[in-house]
This record gives sequence, structure tokens and C-alpha cells, in this order.
Amino acid sequence: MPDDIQDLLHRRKYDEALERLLDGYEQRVYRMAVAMLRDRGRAEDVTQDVFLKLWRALPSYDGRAALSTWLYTIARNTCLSAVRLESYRRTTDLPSAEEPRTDSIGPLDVALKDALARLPDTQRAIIMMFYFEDRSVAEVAAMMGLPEGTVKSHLHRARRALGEMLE
Amino acid sequence: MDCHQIQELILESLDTRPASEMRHRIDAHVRGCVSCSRFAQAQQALDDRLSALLAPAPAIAQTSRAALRARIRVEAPPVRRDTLPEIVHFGSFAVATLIMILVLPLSPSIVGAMGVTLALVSYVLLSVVRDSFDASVLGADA
Repeated sequence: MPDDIQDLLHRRKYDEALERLLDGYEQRVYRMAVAMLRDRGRAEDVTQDVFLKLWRALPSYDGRAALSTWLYTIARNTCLSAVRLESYRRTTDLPSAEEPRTDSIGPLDVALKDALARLPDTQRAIIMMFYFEDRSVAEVAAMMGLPEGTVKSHLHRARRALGEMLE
Repeated sequence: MDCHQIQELILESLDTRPASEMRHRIDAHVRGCVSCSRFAQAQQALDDRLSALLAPAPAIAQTSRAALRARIRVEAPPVRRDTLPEIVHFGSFAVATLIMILVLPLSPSIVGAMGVTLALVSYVLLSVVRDSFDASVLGADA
């Protein structure tokens, strides 16, 4: 698929290239946004923001980095900006601030959800993405732009911390 | 191997499908160590609970793509900066041709035809060079 997309970009067919990228990566970017933001509604908005930024930037794609790497970098930065904006809203108590909907991540398991919420942001995002991405360390590493060893180290620390919290 | 190393192997076994040698090493230690046995059971239970809590993976609503397309429609089309070289190329040839018409003691139609021919030929040559360069860059990065 990346070859097809590069060919479309080379022929300046940006809208078709965007459709291919949506087919291949929209769900993964959305899952990344859910893991980082913990709110499906906001994750959907952020996913649209990511692909809108991507569409604007497609004409300047120079092929130096792999498309997936480029896309995940845009996705990560957009998610981090959204997380920062959310924490700013909470600290300044703006009227539009909303608590993350923790009930939106799956069936009821209150103790485990509370324990997950107490993990550092990176560990929580990585452990959620690990299960979302069918337990693939390699995929999570690619999405987070981290070496696989670092992802495993975060996973292990998160598992130990969760184990202690749930004892 | 001490308990800490075995516990790291237990965690590793939850990340990836463990090789039989790793599995054997863990089982051999856990059979004779109460604390690692408890650790293994607790981590397996935690893994099962996380799998249940976080599955199925969330999926984006099908309406989201339509909303994205609507947002794209209201945006101005992206700046096609790639067209700039063409604009400069043909613009400069047009100016040069006009100057030649004024300066050279030849018929304006002949000078104009020469200018158009030179502009097109040089554009084709430049396009060939640029395409082959782009193909080599994209091919190297693929």
C-alpha cells in the first residue's frame, strides 16, 4: 500500500492518497487518540484533526521518512497538544472543561479503571494501545516512535504498578 | 536466576509468545518459589482483566469520515507549491521572448515561435531530469 500512495503523491493526486491513508490508518490513529485522551468523542475529533493536517501537508511530503512514521508523528503531536489543552482547561477551570469519560473505555471494572487512571500518562497510553493493537509491541513502538525495548520496559513497569495497586 | 529475573521473564512472557525454553525456565522456578508463583498468578489475572476491559478495541464511527470530508471541502485547496517552478520557467521565457522581439532585427512572429519552441523543449528536458531524480529519491526511501 505505501508504494501505491507514494505513486499517487508523485502524480499529485492528494485526495485519493488521503483516502488510501484513511483506509490504512484511520482506526489505528483513533485507537491511539483514545489511549492518550481517554475519551472517545474527543478522540474522534482529534483523529479528524490529524487527517486534516495530513491532507494540508501532503503536497510537501518529500519521501524522506516512511509515510506511516510521518503520519504517526503528526498523530502523536496532535494528541499531545489535545492532552495539554485539556490539562490547561482543567487548571484554569474554563467552562468548557470536561472530565475524561472513563466509562468510555470498556465494560465495568471500576478498580482496574481507577488503577489505570493513576498510572503515568505514557505507561497508561502504552498499556492501552498494547491491548488495542492485538498485543503487538512492534505496532505500539511504531505508533509511539519508541524502540521496542522502551515499550516493553513501560509495559513491565505498568504491569508491576497495576499489580501493586490491585493487591 | 533470581526472583527478580524470573519475574521479568514472566512479564516478558505476557508481551510475546514465550519460547519453550523460557516457559520451561519460568515453570521450573515457579514450582519451587511461592512468591514468584503468586506473582505469576496475579500478573496472569491482571492480563486477563486488561484484555477483557480493553477489548474489543474501540472503532471510529463511520460518520467520522464524512465529517472529515466536509471539513476538507470548506478549506481552501492546499497550496501547490510544486507549480512554482513551471510559473517561473514560462514567465521568464515570455519576458525574454518579448525583449528579443524588441531587440533582434527579425520578424516578431519568427522570434515568438523560437521563444515558444525553446520554452517547451527546455521544459520537457527539465521535467525528465526532475522525474528521474524524484523517482530515485522515492525509491531509495521506500
